[in-house]
Amino acid sequence: MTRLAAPALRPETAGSDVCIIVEGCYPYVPGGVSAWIDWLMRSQPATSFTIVALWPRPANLPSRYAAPTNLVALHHLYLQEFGAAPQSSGQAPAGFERLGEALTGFMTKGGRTALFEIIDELARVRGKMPLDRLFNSPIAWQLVQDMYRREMPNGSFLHYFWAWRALLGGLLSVLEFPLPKANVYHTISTGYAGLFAARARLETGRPALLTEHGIYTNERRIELLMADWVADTIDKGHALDDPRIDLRDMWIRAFEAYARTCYETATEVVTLYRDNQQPQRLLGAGERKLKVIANGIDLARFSSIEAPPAGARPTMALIGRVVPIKDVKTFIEAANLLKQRLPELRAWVMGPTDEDAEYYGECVALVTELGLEDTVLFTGPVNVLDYLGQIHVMVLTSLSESQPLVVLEAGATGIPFVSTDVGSCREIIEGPETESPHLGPGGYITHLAAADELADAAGDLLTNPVRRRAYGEALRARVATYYTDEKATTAYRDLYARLSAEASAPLSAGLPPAAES
Amino acid sequence: MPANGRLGPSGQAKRIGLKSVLPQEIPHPPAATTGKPPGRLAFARNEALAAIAAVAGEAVVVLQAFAPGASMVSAVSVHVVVMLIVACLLFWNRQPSEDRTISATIWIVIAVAGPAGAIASLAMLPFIGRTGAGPEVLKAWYARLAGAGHSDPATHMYGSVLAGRVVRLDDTMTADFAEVISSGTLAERQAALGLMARKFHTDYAPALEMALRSPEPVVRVQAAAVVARVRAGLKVRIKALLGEANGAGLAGAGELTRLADCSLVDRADRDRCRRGAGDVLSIVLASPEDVALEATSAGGETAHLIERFLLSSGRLKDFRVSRRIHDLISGGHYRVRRARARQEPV
Repeated sequence: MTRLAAPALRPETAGSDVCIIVEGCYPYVPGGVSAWIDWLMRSQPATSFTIVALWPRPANLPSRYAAPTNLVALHHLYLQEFGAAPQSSGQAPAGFERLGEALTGFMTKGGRTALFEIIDELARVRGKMPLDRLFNSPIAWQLVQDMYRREMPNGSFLHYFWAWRALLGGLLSVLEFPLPKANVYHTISTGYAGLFAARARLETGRPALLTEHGIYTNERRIELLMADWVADTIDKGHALDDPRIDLRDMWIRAFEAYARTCYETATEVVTLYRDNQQPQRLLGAGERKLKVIANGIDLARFSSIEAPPAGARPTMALIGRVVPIKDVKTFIEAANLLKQRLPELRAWVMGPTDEDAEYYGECVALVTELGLEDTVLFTGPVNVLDYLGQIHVMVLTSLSESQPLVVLEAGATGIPFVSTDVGSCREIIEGPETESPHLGPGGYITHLAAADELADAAGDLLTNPVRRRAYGEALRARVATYYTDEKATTAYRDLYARLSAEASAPLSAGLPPAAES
Repeated sequence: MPANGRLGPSGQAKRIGLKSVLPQEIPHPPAATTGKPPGRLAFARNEALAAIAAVAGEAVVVLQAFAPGASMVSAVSVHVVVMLIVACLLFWNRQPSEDRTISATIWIVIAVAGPAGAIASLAMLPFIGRTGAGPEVLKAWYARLAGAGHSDPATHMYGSVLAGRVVRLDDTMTADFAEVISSGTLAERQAALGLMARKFHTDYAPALEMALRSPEPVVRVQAAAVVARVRAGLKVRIKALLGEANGAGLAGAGELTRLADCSLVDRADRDRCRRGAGDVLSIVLASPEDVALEATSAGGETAHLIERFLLSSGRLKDFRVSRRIHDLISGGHYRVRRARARQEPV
């Protein structure tokens, strides 16, 4: 079986300062989180890092990032590879019922104490039989029946069995994987990565840090609620309050339980913007451990870009991939509405068009149908720095975002922004509630898929140069105040330093002190 | 009947190796093989006494009728007395649960046929005792047919599994999605959005749009994900409906019209849906006869669609025919008869 190719690394000797735990991205899948991890390691050259990369199973993927010099080791933890060769016999050890009870409690409710209990129970069982053997033995069969009766007695046992195998296999993989030595364990999501960090915190007493870009549990919940691959084995009709537990509920409960465990156990819970903190609170993250560290931008790259000269053709631009989640069609429809007021309007869509060729084709057809060939231009992937000096207003019509870099880039250039109410856009454009003194609005926020609102907002900024300039400057000031590379780098350096200082000796028994009293 | 005395289902269960798990099946009394059950002996004795009494009594009736100077009134009176005695013998002191079919038959035969009936009843007696099914057998069999008593464990397990998985109409209500989105808990709103995604209907579009404008970021994010998925699904559906061309029929035209009015469908697709629905309708409703036929069979929504199409395409005569048929159908037979009556003189 092929293994994930690890980048060339220095051999790990005495551990590292920070162990980053990441699920399904770095260093093999490029994207926002992978790029952020790469940035984080490079921005902290004095800190040594170990990475534990969680994957379902081995795969032959090339590394997409060159390993920074301070990356000491990269470990692979495979979630669906747990278990020894099947056993045909095996006797349940004494107190076996307690294990079923503890596992059910953990997988349905979770929490710091519940994790401690199953670590304790599994240690007891491990003394009599290795867990990988137990997982494929008649004892596991008894266990699954016991847990089925407790957890999902109305649903299909067959479906429960396979879901149970996947969930418990992942859980045991995480709990059995050797912990790399580190001063701080830093997970980039909840889920299994979060569990790993929580376990590290309980077993070593070292601080566990969580940085969430998107809310992992919420993403899983959305995915599971809409998924067709999850069978509905109980017919609940259209009822929302049916108490019977089915597969979908089982999966959601498990991920929420894992998240609750991570939030309760983590020493600090960091996210990119305040709106993300509400779901974190709901799942048990204490108020005092919540923290916002926004992503930053290198202002120097944009400092030399001038505003468009007076009399330049009014131009609004959307920077992003041409895919449905960016809702480019709303941008085109807004351009159509706005063109009636501003016949000279230019509307640029700047980003790759090949990711969803069908959607791109539909967008082009819409442009043709509306007679906007002279107005709307698909530039394809470009260096935005070459275009920013010609843009009056930047627009984002996305249905979903976290903290889009493009808003920061527009702000760094002094271009006002019109965005849908997604991710941290409102916080960046209108300013956080706590902002003092208030720097003023940097643009407008519209509802999702509201072409008329977008046309009104962009039209207002395009036709009112004084307001446009004022909003652009306010956005520039806000980005310079809160969203710089230096600020983010300093925030993580200070956080690592503080947590490393707090790191205590490994605990021999009992729960380590809670992060928040 | 199989040699083990069990009927079909149990015999089948035995063949597939479930004998050991079927101890509680309703037993069928071994009627033909182990002698007469107690209930049947009592039954035969009553019948015999009644038949003998009837023969004797009816002999008196015959004598009364044919004796010189005898009157018909006295013969009938004796017959009535005989019938009362026979009734007492047949029905006196019988358990309410006992089967009285044969007793009643005997009594009626004697009452109607008099002496001949009495002789016939006496002649029937040997055969009554030989019937295959006594009341106990029938009682058990009826109970089995009615599903009473205990079922076998496999059937019981099947029943309980099924009961645990079917939709519960008693204690769970289908919620109003718009209400849930505006005032439900976060979990309810998320569950409603999940349901809308999995079982989308164009009627859910307003609730979904409301969710897109929710002040709650978590709800907005999920609504956006649902919208993205629903839009993709609608696009596929529209493509399929338009691809079916005229094969889609009136139902397809109706769906296309609904999609053309759905705010989640983008403008170009909405226009395509309208055109597609118009194409289908103009072919399906090519002649006035077709209009009458289709309007007669169409449901309310489709009939409305047909009429809208006829109006928009200027086919006013067809529209009036369709309206007329609709009125006749909604007015029932009375309206049809009146219409016919009015048409006849013409």
